[in-house]
Amino acid sequence: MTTNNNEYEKEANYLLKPDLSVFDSAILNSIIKKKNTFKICKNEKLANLGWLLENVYLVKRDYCKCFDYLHAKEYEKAWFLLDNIDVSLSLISDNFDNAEMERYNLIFLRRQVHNLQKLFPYIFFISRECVIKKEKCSICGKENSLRSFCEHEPGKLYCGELCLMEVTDADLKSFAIVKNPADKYCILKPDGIEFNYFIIEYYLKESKGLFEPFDVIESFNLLPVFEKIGDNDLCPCGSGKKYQECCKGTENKKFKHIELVFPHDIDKSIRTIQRTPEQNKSVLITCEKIIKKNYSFSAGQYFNSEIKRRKCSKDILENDLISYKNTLSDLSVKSVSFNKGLFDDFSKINFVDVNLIYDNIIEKNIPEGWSVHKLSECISRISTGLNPRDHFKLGKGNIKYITVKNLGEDGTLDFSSCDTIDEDALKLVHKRSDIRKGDILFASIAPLGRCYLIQNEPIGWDINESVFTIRPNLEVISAEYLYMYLTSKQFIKNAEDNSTGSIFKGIRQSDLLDLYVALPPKPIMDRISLFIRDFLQYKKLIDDSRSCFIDLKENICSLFLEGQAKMKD
Amino acid sequence: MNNELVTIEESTLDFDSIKQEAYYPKELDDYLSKCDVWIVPEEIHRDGYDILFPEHTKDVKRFLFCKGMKIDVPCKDDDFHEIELHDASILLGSFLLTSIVLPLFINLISSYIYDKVLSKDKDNEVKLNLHIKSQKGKVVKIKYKGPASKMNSTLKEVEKIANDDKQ
Repeated sequence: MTTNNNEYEKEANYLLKPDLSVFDSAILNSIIKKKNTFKICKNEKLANLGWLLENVYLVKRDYCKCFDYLHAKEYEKAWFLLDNIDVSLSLISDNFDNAEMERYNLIFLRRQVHNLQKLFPYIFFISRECVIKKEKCSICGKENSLRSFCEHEPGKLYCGELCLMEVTDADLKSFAIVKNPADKYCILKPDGIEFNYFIIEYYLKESKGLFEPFDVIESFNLLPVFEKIGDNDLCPCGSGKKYQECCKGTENKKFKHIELVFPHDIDKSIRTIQRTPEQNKSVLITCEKIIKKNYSFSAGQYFNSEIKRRKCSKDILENDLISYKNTLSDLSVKSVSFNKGLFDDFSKINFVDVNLIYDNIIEKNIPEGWSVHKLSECISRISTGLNPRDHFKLGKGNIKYITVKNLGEDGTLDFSSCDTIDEDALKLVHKRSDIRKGDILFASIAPLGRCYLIQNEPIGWDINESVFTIRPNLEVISAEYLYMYLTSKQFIKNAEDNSTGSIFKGIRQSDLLDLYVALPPKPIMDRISLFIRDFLQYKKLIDDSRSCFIDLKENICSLFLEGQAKMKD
Repeated sequence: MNNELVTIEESTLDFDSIKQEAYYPKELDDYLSKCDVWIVPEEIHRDGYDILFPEHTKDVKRFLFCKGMKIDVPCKDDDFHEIELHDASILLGSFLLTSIVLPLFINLISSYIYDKVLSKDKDNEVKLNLHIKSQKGKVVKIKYKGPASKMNSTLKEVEKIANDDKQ
């Protein structure tokens, strides 16, 4: 499709100027007016051309506006405009060929936009994860499903109108802090912290204007603090671990290095060389040398270790940074009031002053109405996972392979440092463990007694041999009550007393099953269980949010250290 | 072949094993059995959904279908949901196909990636799983994870190996 058409001659000629920087809104109005007329007449070709010219006008105008913002140090506004331009250019290229893009200088603009984006210090973004349940075509309104869809193709133009899929029903699953989101609108910008835009300032100083092409060469170099480190020295990252057990061999020790290349430096050399065919070759070699010598400086350390996709509270968080911050503040307030309510409720349960000692004399110490049972009488199943041995190999597949090390002190599962297994191995392991929602995981060796209550169906992970999985007999005991009981200090102490091994203590299944559990009357147990259930749900919410904060804190610290962020006055 | 971009392993998936899955629509068996390529759910699990597919699965299916490929998703319309994931990587999904259609498939999927990524002066990471069923019935899983610009050449190498094995 081309714009060689007299209908838009004046407007097209206006937009053909490659360094257009003064904009006349009358031209835009004229394009829109003509486009709308062609839409009404159902002149598809001319309506589409109108759409192209309208967007060329807007892209060129926004590109210039972006530089106004950069010079005015309104960097965020410039960032958002660059992202808008990138999206618009992408949509234009879906509908018009490269020749047409070239005609309006759009390929040059696209390269400039991508290079400018690389100069910004934004590394981490908030991104959402949604399940799309229903969507309809923006052109005809028909609801599209897997096998039933209209003839309109998303992203294509139909009589001057872009076909988009309007999502009419979606299920928001989570938010995450990520490095490379699909759209980069939600910049992480905590209060009191300011990004350092010195690369952009440098670019503006050196560049001869917004239409001078430039190039950005990115590379990763070793951070100076890592240069003379021995394997047994403390790791410079501050983890407290030895270097060989921490950052050695990882990407953490590298920082991103940026070189800016401007053609105006190269031109000087070219002018001094005679342009014979043989010498043209030497021109290229000279250019390469100049490019390599060009400006270079540190762009700050990029955290190369993948930012774990921490789920935040999906029901509460909104899909932009402002509401993200607001809701987290709200969460903090709620958690304080919740904790207060928690302690108030606990004080109403009348089992204080009772010394719950879990040994053979327990019956003498428990309150009236309570009973004592061996753990074996309270559960319907106990099992473990499977060790690899000859069965399977670790490191294959994406299934997380949980060991005692991954059972957190605070009742969480840490998936970040897990080994992985493949689907075949999972089948073997699961055949033995049969872990399900409602089961309790129990660390059978040091750290003995760490527990995890499985609150959702376990998908994509299983356990190894060192983790017991305990299924409560729900006619006798609730999962929540048993979980709290197993995590109590005194039960763990009792388990340790019954464990074997000199350095790495472990408890046998049979010994664990012989330990005693004190059970309250059913109404009290129900009440405690209900209460613990709410507590665990809320705890998960807070844990997830806390993880987000920790990620955020760590990321921001690195920005400070490398001079890429600074504190506001 | 660039081993950092591709992993090859035995696959547990097969057309017959998919037919045993709860999500498989038995009423569409006749139609689905005639397809050369199935887009299968794999690796994406979220609470509340038995199966999920990456964003743009419908778009990929439509593109390949319009280019003459017999392709479908072995599930009911109502069970089909796409998930919009966080990052800018292009997650093409998992494809179960016969080795006969592999050359055509590689050309078409590369063409799709060219249109969506490379033609726009970008080089996003692409993730793609292929479960290729040989004429002897063995299914091999090829996992590609790497830049869009290297996908076509890498998959062509895979195709070459598959052809050498056949001989």
